[in-house]
Amino acid sequence: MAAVDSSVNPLAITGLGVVSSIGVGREAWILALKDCEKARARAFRGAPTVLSAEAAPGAIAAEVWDFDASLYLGNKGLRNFDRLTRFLIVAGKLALEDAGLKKDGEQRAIRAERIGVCSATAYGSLDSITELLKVSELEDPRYVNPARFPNTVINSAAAYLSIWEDLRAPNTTVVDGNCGALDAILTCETHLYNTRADVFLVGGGEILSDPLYVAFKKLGILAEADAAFAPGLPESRGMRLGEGAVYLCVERSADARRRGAEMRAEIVGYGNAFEPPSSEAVLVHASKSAIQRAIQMALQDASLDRTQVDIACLSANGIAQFDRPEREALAEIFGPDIAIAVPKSIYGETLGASGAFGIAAVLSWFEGVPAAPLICGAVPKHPLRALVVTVGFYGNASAVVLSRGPIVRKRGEA
Amino acid sequence: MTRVYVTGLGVVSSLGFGRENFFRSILESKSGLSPIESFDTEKLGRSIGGEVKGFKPRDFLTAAESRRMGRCSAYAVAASRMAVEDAKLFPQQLQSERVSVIVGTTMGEGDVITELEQAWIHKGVDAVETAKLPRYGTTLLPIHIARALGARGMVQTLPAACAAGNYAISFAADLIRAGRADVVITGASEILQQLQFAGFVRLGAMAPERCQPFDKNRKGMIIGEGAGILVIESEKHALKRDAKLLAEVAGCGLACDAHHITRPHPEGTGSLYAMTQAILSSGIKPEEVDFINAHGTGTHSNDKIESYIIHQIFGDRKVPVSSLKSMLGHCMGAASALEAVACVMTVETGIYTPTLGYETPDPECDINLVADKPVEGKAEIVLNNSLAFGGYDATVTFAKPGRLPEWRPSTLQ
Amino acid sequence: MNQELKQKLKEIIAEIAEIEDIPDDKPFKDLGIDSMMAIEIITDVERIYKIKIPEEELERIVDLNSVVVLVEEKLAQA
Repeated sequence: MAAVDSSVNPLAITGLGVVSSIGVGREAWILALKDCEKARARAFRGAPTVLSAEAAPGAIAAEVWDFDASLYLGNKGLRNFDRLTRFLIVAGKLALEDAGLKKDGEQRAIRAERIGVCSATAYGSLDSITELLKVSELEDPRYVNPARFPNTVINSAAAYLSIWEDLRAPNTTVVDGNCGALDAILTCETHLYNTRADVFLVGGGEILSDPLYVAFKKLGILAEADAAFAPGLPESRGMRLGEGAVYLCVERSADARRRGAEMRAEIVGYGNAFEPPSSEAVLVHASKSAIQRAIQMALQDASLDRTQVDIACLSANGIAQFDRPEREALAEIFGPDIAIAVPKSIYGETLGASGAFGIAAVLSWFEGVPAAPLICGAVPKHPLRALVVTVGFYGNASAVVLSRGPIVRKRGEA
Repeated sequence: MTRVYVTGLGVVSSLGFGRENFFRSILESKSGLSPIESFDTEKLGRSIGGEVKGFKPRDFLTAAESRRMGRCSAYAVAASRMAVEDAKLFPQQLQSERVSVIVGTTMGEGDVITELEQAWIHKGVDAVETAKLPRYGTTLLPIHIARALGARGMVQTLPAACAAGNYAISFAADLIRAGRADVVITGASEILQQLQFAGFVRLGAMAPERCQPFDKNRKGMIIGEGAGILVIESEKHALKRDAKLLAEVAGCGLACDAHHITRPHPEGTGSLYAMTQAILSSGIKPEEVDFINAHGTGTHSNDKIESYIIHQIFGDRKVPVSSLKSMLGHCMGAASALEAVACVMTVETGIYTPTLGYETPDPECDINLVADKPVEGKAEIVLNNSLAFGGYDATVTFAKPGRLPEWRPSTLQ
Repeated sequence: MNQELKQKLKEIIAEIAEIEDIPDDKPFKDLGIDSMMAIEIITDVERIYKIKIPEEELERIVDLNSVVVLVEEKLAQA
């Protein structure tokens, strides 16, 4: 593999905004993770209210329960915002406030022109598309609400975030299935490297909706009723869907230091890969070699040796076909002793947002709260380096390495 | 930092397939607009679109490929195959971890989701065909291309609304400059589809028959479809294989208006910034720009604001400007990718593409429009401009190989 | 002027504009109703009353009374 002559200086995470099934806001998130079992019970506490009884009878999914955007955004101007838009704006606002970049709606420290958004989603606003198609099909295409029509465009939710928070640097929506949120980090790194902005909200969101649920249900990969849901373990019989949004405030570490921001972690490595399936007839598949390549590229990018990683946060969502190759890839690179965490067992598969949720879990670890059940190994008392992996449904994979303290990075050879 | 060159172009458009047919139609001032046949427009009050006619997936795709993908991906794969052929890249050069695919779109496989939902709405959930489900997903566009070509590097979709093509091309170039890829297959693909069409009609943005960018009596846009794909590669990679360098992908400018979801900022602040950045980050001055391939949608506000921005940057110097949307319609996510193909060919040939339907000058659009017929001229540095839904602004600079200075500043702050 | 119709239209517009009350003749632009909201009002009204208001008549909508007059006119034609 050719060496990567990427960056540059490390990037600092200086803020975290979370909208999740176990709590809203950084503090609520970390507090909830102090008791993983309780958090899991809360996430899967009952029949999801955003799914209809007709489309999703007996559904089990981790909803962002009782979500009320007006608590954070006020009552006005939300009318045409769909669920994803509300998630993104609230998570973005909370992240900016957490990073000390905004207070009482005012920009602090950094100008609006220098703050951008790199946001991932896999399926966007399927609920809005469905709502408008119903009107169009059952009544008349002329009755499609023009103010809701923009919601059908996949980058619209992130665009509303820029508008709401007045963020005028580039706004990039990234779609790469389950790998999107980690890929958004590379997009952000590239923009920062080219000095197109000084801070980015990086992460993503995904929502539960009838069409999303029906699709996964029909594909036969959901663990419902008595079927075991045990991400990363051989006994698992499928995945459970979740939803939510996570944004990180990411800036150049030197800038963060200069403005005296609290650095919650540094992003020190990124890698990704794609491998096609061996058969032309296959579309959905997991590739062990793509996962391995992504991880190795991320380690190399971080100038880290495999022994220096304290935790690996898996993409494992309970589908054996995907969990197995991921675990095998990990075992081949790290051996049997690495601590492996499966955060999705707490709050389900959040698809395009899941990489950002994985990072949010790592941040919790770095603050001393064990953020997810381990399926093997043990985490040192003060973990310093973590790997977050995401595995797509089509042979795509991405990985990110986070560090609690600075690492001196070697520059790769071109 | 390495230079990045365009070495191959592929096109699926209402003006023809392949870059030669596409550009020839443009130079003949042909219109790709016609009555829409792929869905019923009767209730919508508008019936014209830049629809791609006569596209047979099996002319470009294998049987297995055409089974597993929707029409938007099929356009993208077809255009990608043409582009790598144009670039004379061999399969073994493409089957690499150093080859990435970065493409844009707005709605992706809008057809697939509509078909699935129609079955559900009219016949119930059991009528939704499981086998068709995996065809949906914006994620799939670059995956299908990567599989068709053997690329094994990064796969990514950047859905930046109607600036998606420019977003994808600029990120693809960034990726090469950062040393993360040697070759990137980039561009965008979009299909015409009923929900989107109805939405634009309802927004009151659609003209009845013609799209007349910058004309005083312009009545709005007409939407279209297609795919424009570019092969871009690092200087080292291109020189090593003795590739023909069509144009250099120079600087780019990206910004967000943060103003309104469908309207551009009244003073065009984001777009002004994007165009300025695209010029300065190429290491040049505004007076060196030879031609602008404008966004020029034919709506009242876009054309007025875009003209204002051009005036702000170039002052009294009347740089030639043109909008392909008069012929292709607004191909949404694919628009700036198809326009990028035309920009590269303008750089190659020294011919400015024409704008149709320009009859009455608009004092609010005081620009030097290339109307009716193509014009020959200096085309060493060409800008591709776009402004999109959500206030996304993106401009990419293309230059004649060897024209730009060695050193380039990053961007202004 | 049909008071019942007027009341209903008032509710529709108030909901879209997110304001409590819509005075009869206060210009929409002073109420913060922009062109997007105007199109939204038209779409809603068309949908509820099953009438068709051509795009070019959009500019007739300047205040509550003008909407009532327009809808009454279209209902009479229907």
